[in-house]
Amino acid sequence: MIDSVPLEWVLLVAAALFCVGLYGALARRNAIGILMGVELMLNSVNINLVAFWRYLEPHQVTGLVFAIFIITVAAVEAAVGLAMIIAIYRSWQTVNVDAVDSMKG
Amino acid sequence: MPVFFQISDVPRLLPELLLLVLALLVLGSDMFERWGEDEESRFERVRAAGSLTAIGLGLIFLITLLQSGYVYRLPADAPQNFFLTIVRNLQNGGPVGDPVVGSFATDHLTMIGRLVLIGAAFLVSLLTLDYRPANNPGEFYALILLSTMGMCLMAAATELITAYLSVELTSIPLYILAGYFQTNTRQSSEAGMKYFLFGALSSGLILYGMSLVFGFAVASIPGGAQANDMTQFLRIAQATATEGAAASKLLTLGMLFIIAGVGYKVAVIPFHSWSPDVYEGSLTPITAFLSTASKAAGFLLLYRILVTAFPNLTGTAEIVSGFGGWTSLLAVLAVATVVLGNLAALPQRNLKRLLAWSSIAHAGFVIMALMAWASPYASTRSMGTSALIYYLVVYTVTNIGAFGALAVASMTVGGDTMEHLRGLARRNLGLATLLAIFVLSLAGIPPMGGFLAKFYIFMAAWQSGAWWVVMTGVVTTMIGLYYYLLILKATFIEEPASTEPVPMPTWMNATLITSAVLVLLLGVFPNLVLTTIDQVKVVAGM
Amino acid sequence: MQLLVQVIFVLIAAEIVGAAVMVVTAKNIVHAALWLIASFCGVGALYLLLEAEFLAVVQVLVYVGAISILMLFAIMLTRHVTGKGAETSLYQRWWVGLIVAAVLFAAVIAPTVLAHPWETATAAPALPGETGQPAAMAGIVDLGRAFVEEYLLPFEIAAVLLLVGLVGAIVIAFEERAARRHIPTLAEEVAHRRQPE
Repeated sequence: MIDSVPLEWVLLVAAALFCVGLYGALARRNAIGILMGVELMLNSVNINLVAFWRYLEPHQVTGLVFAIFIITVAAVEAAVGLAMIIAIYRSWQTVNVDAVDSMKG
Repeated sequence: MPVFFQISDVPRLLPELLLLVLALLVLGSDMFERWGEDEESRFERVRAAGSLTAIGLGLIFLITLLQSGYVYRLPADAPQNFFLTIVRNLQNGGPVGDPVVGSFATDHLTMIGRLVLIGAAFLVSLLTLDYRPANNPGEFYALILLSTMGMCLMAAATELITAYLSVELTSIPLYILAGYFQTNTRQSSEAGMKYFLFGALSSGLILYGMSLVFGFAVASIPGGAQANDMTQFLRIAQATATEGAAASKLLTLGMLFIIAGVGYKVAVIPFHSWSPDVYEGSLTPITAFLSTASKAAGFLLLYRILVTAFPNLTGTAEIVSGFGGWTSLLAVLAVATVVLGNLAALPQRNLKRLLAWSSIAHAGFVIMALMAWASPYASTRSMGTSALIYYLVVYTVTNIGAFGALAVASMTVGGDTMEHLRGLARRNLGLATLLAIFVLSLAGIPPMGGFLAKFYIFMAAWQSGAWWVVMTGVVTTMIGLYYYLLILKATFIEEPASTEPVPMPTWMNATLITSAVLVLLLGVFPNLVLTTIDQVKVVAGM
Repeated sequence: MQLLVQVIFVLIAAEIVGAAVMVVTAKNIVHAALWLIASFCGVGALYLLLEAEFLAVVQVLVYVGAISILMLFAIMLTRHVTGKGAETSLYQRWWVGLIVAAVLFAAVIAPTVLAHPWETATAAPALPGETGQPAAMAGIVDLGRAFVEEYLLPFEIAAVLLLVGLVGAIVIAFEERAARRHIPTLAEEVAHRRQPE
């Protein structure tokens, strides 16, 4: 069924998603916005892995296992990161990373 | 042949398991302390968790030392009794056994890495005993232990998934620890958030690289993979050994992403921008931990990935005969790192920031040791390996000492800028002498360990043909001398602001003296550790 | 049929990337979070198309159900109490990021991916020794087995990682609990801190 779609197409979608996420992580000022960009990057990695699994080694599971581990870690990272952002908001009353910049040199 | 992890492999994982058990013990025992609101009972809780951690880490260090067999190896004809059987099983899980089990190697590199990392955690936990990590001491120490566990796994991982998970297990506790509230809540939460955001970005980069490398490996084994092991470094090396693989852009791109991602973690220029702020904003003992153990673990992982997964892409470091492969890339990074790191350190007045830039520069020197792989000769390569590990050992001990001395100064004098250190020698000669030992070792003055470490690295890089990297290294070492001597000038020559003597907290004193003795021993009798380090020669499976 | 699958793929791809672009460009951070959910759902649909059904379910449960909701909570908790939360949210030099990402995609990743000679064996190749019987595609049983055999060690590390996440989030969230008996809500706390100014 999926055979009619070449592997390159899927990889291109993943690459586009990765670059969009990277742009988000680099250009956003809001810490939550940066985190969203990073989540998009992780999703693109998962697309890559699942595509490699489906097209290149469909009777093994390495790609799937890797993707599930990445989802787990992404959940942990989001939980810790968002708690940290709330802590930042407590002491700074903002989540803009430009504003949160007291150390120079 | 079982390629995956089995229950009989538990002794191989013993140090990591013990760290986990200790972490749970620290978390659990905190519940049975007196949870008073007053300052005294809070300090009691901190002390209890801290001492438990320090004692436990000391024991784990000794057990790991016994397992490695570097100081005592059980003879083969030893009698069979209960204790000796335990020791025998323990040592069979060490570097003597079959080195690679599935996603995990227990070769000499792993064992030395574990000793360095657990030792660093031990010294840091001693440093924190006099410090007061205000709230939640149980969680504070448990996170240090879990992070150490992740670092040990990083040094041992021989497979992409394990490597990635152990990188995260190292980093996530460190994000929290960097943001651990000290007196200045704003600054420490800022440090935590910066570290977290850069770390999250870098793990995205590592992962994208890993996925490309994985795809390359799966695609280049004809007929599809036969087993679930296409993420192992050795299988990747096998895939890259096929015809034309070295020229594959896909593989190179994946490797670049991995190097960039790990480069973020170890703060190599141009991926360094988080590190001065994070080092300045964190609690000083945590800064010591970040700048030594987490860097050492990152370098061990980088070394293992590059050497076992990409041995066919090494390239050359000679500037004339053309670039290519990872040694050329690392040569450029090393030059940029030592030059910019040392220059940026020059105008710093805050000593934590100064040492942050100096440790960026030191990361550049460590990378130079990897230049040895540009040479086709096994002898040069194994020399590079020894130089790398020796440098990491010396640097870890020295930097923990240096940041420890700063922690004492900021605790007792009230700050860690140059002005605060003025005339320290007249207020506390012992502290000033210890600081001088560490600073001289960082600068690379004989007879401290730092001198020999730099010397070995330059020698290995020179033999591999990277003479221009070595020249830059020597010149920047001279530049670095300037700001290290500025610290000594402030400490010994300038007039103190007050002549009031500075007290010296007991446990910090013990840590500093231990580190100083180690720095001197490593510098004067390098063979104490070099004979052990030389056993690494080749990494498991190569 | 082939054309239909291709059309569906292109639609899903457009949805994923389009929603992702909205995530990074939306002025209002709440809108960005909602677009993020749309993008995650698109990725889930792509997994279904790639016949990774279990992963599609996990994607919807974890990303859409947990991470996005967590982000929405965080946004709600950190919006300015006075209500001017929807300020412009890009760096001054956002175009640097744009150039980096665009060059990376157009000049580096896309050509590399396209140029690589992929040997796709989609009709699952027969394992050696078996007579013409194509090997079955790995299913959920193989996945579960892999977690307790080949990937036992990473599985355990992931478990420790979840513990770290739990401990860490609690440590950060329950800041200064020993100092106060009453844990104020964020709004109370902000109001309290603003008073002296």
